Amino acid sequence: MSQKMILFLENLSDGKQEEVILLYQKVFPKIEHYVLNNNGRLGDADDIFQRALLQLIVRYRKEPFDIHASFENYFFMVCKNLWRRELNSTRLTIHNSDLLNNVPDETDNAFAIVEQERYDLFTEKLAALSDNCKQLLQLFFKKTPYDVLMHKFNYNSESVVRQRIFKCKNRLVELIKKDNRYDNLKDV
Amino acid sequence: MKIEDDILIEKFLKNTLSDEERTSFMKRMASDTSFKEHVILEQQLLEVLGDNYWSFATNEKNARVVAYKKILESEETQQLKTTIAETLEQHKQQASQSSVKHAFSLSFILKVAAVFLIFCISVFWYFSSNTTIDYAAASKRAWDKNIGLDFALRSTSADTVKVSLEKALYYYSHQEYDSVLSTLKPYRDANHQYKDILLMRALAHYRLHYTKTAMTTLDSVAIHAPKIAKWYRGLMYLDQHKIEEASLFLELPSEANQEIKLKE
Repeated sequence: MSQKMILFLENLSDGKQEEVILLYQKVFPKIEHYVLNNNGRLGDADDIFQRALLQLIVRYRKEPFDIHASFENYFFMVCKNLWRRELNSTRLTIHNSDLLNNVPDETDNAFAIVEQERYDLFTEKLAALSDNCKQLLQLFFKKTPYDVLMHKFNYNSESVVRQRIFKCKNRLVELIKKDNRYDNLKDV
Repeated sequence: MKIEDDILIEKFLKNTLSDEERTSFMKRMASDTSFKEHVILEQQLLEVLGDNYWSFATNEKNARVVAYKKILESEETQQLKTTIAETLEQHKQQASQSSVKHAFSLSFILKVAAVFLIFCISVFWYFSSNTTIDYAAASKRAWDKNIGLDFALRSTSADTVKVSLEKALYYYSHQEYDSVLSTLKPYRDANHQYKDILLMRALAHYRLHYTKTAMTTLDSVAIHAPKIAKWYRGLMYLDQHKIEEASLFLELPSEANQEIKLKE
């Protein structure tokens, strides 16, 4: 993490108003646009912004962590994930209301943080694969059918596609398991 | 990990194992810790790296969750939460006050502009007998809700129909509407998810500009799911600028930011 980013997070962590406002001015319009275009309302975007900010400060307070992008881009991605989480939890509420427990706020916020850490670990390791593996797995995880992948990547048969996915997935799993963060996150 | 195990895990995650296979799979999960860990990791990868899902944490006892919860509950963090909320609230108020001041300084220009605007509106009303509202944005948001297309969440069956529906939905989201129709061609009305099949067919026909066929197919959808059929019939009429017909099925917005609702 760069010195500039550390200073920025330290200032945010101290609740320095100028830094909070600066971040709000830079990133909020993008978050607002994303949330409103994905079944959200204006108040939702505000809520997501504040939760994401608190999430990053709490993570930083626990231990400094690496960000492999600009802070604004990373912050926007955390907001997107929080909104994706929110939409999926609403879907779960509609379809499985009996299964949902009433989790206290701070437990839910703690869950959201470890979920983001898991997302960081998985996406970082996926990015470390070869371009071919990366593209193939990205489509595979989006449930693209094997016959579509076969045509797209010019493989001879679905069986070849399956073999290739198997190898790429094993490489990804290997990279994830080798990382120290995995042990902390595997039973969440 | 062998490829046979990989295939088995994929079938488990797609819910396509037979009852017998599932029983044996669950037994192995209970006895083989490393296999169980691998299955959970594969499921998390699918949920995290796919677009449509999210991988929720559930273990409140995990050391990391406990540590974060402690920091979140601390007085210091609670105070910070309040500070952030207040800072943003103040900022928004200041921004709005500053825009008010700006508005006052521009008051004269605005007065002139208002007179001009009134003139333009009068001319517009004179030449146009009907005012029209642009429903395009609201319609797009309504289509994006993908009402009735949550097959994966609704169905727990492990048969090929579900797989075909998910495949058809994939083609639909990638605008390959002919492939939607060919994927669902074999299915007849004896099927338990026939309503979903009909809906996918209706939407694919509509996107291929066979509007009449789409509407007829929606008639059949209406037998099983009248609200969903009404919703899409309304949206199709709206796309064709048939506002009166669309209003029979939908509550249309009177302002730009309002959402389209189903007429009850």
